[in-house]
Amino acid sequence: MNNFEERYTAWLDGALDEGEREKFEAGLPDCGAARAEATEWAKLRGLLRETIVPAPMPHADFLNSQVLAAIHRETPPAKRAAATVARNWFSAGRLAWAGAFLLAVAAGLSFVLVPRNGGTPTESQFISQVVDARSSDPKLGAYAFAAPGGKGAVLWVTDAGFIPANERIK
Amino acid sequence: MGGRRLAAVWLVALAMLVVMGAVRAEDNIWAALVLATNEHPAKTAPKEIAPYVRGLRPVFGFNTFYLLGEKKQKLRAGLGEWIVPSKVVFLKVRCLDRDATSYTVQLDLFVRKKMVVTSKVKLARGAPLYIRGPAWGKGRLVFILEVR
Repeated sequence: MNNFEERYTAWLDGALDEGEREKFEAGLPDCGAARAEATEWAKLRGLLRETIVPAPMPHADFLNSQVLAAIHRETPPAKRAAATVARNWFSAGRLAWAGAFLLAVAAGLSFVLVPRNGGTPTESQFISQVVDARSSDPKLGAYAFAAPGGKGAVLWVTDAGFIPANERIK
Repeated sequence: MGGRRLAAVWLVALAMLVVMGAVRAEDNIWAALVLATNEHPAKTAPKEIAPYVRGLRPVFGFNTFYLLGEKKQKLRAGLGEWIVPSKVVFLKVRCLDRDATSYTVQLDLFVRKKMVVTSKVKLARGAPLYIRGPAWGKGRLVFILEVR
């Protein structure tokens, strides 16, 4: 509310909060006259509310149908056809085709992107294996073998060093 | 009719999400640093490493296993991940390749910031790799790695 009229109307309607109201009233040149006008306005508003009651519409549905018919008559046929097309764009048939298309795209993507080895995986594909192990230090050795149970593997590093027991590991 | 259309749209979106989720699914590599020692009587291993004790005992010849640290990292092709459960002993894991059941990774084992061994390993899901690390006191440090 930037201008005085808006603030004044809000003040008359009692729509200002306490801080705003006090600030506004402090800025009024003649607060007494303004308060008198507010009282008059409140009286008038109460009177209007009591006396003017909106009359019930006897045939609301009939009126609505007449208004719709008038709109239909006055809308050019080309515009009407465009609106119908827009409304039918999301028909169940189109949605079904769109869904099928998207699923086909997703299936194609998964076929291309998901790595596969072709056919049923062999048993060796479920086993961990050390393919290669090397050390730059000639004093160190590294070799590998299968862990008990068959699925796991062991990388055995010889002479990987010694850490005194009094040295903190963590 | 509006509800049916909305349901159809959601169904399609859900199907797309499921398929794309399968495409983008990534596994984690879990690594645990374990101290293996011999104690009398033997102590029960913590629950995190309890399933591996049957494999650890006969291989390393120890009866008690303590979990010193564990880490879980996402495996992304081409990227190197540091697995540092300890400042003394740690690993660098680089995912080289993946197929439907396993990952091929390059593992570099570091002891006191010095790389002691580099290895190319094929890690299958649920098939652990045990790495014999340096000795610590009267025990031995062991890494357990598993794709989950």
